[in-house]
Amino acid sequence: MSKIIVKDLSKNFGKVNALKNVSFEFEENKIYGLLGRNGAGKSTLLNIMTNKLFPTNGEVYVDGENVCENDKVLSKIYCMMEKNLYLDGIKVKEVFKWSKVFYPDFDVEYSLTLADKFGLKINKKVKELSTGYSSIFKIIIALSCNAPIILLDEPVLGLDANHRDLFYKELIANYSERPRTIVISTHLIEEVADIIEKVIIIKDGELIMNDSIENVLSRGYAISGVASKIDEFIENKQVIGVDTLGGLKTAYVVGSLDKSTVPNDLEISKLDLQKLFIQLTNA
Amino acid sequence: MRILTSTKYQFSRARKSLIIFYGILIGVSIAISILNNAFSPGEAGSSNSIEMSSVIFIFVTGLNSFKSEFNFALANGVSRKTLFISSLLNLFSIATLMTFIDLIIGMIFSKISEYNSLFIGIYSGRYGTLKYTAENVLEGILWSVVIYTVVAVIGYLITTLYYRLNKGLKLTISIGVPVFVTIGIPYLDVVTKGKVSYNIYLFFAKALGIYNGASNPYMAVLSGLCAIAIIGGFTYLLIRRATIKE
Repeated sequence: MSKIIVKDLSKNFGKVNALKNVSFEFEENKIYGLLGRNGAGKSTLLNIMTNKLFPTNGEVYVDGENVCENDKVLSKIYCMMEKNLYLDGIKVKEVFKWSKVFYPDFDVEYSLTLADKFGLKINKKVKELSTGYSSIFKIIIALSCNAPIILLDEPVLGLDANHRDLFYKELIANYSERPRTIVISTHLIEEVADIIEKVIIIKDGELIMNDSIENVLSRGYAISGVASKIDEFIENKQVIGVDTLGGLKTAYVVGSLDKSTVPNDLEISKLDLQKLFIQLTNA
Repeated sequence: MRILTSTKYQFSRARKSLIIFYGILIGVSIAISILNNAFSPGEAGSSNSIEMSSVIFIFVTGLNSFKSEFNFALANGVSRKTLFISSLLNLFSIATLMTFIDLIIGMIFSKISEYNSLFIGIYSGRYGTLKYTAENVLEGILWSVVIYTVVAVIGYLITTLYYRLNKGLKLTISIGVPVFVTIGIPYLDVVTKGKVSYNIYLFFAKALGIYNGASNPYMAVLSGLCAIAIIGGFTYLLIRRATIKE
């Protein structure tokens, strides 16, 4: 069991409302995409979920217990943060050793295998790691700690395409072997779209979407073709966005589609998550 | 369980510094003894610098015991309450270990030079010229552990306070306290004809159990325990709402 309930959560930083009365649930053993623009409140939410920040109002519960100052609950969560919370002088292999002490299920052998795959030198000091390798180092801890809840805040920050690909593959392999609740907060929506099962979108501190990827993408469709024909087709339809390139146009439409009404020279495709996100979160 | 894990981690951090500190301390003490014997043979030297060095070391240890440990604790799912308890346990463990090491070093040096421990120096009225009887060794251990712990928790309170304060308050305290000690107190002394300094002396003399010819280390132990409780209480108030700083 590792169900997370976020209840009436608000967080103010002075006059800024980073989170506004947010309520939702993370179902157990699912991979979530936590999406939002810069400053939307994603990191604030993850920090409150892991007791690094205190909410102004509301609570977060894991398996029915409040996470606030609760060692038992906190030991079930591992949060990979953008900020490095490890000692500057400590070596990578020492962090692995201590992670095993704090998370008894930490798989040291697996962490060493991953370090080898990613080319992370375990004798290096944490402060000597580049941005990319610092992310890799934290990814390895997150994947190896075997906590029932893994929160990944910008996990692929600074990673090259090869390492990002390797990370997604390892994440899926790890999840298949040991399902758990995983929350990925990222800006690279297209890359995680095929991995995540559910999507949560936060805009200006408010929850604007919490649904399965299937449901989200079935809310509408994309239609492409000659601009004049597209304009004619989308008349009286709920269009959330349009891309124009020369004489061609793609319209993103919310609503059900009656295929018999679509002219032959127009092409229908799946609604793109990133496009939907951009349209939903544009001011 | 997390308390012990966190204490173990913090103690491991201090271990290396302790080894370096005692390596230097023992090396310097041996060098001084050799030089003393070479240049002034037959003349006895006197020192209680071991404990004074230990007091400074444990104060610095207290000062270095918050920020990194706080970040590491939060990264590993340890609550602030657990971190606070484990930090106190860690400082107490270091104080106890240092007390025993200092005692052993003191016993060895007392054989080769005219060494007086800080404890026997302060409570000479109670023990006279006697050295290392079962009574004063046990009382000395108890006294040292408590005093070292008090010094460590003072360092811990200062570092926690600085972590919580904003830049303006940090600057105010960093300037205000030294100015008050170096200018304010002497000025008040002039105005009150020495009453301020006398009352400060009186407070510490009573707290240490050496007021008016008394020589009672148990009074110092009791005062020390009260100080640990009060300072610890303030420190916990600062830690309980602390958050990670960017």
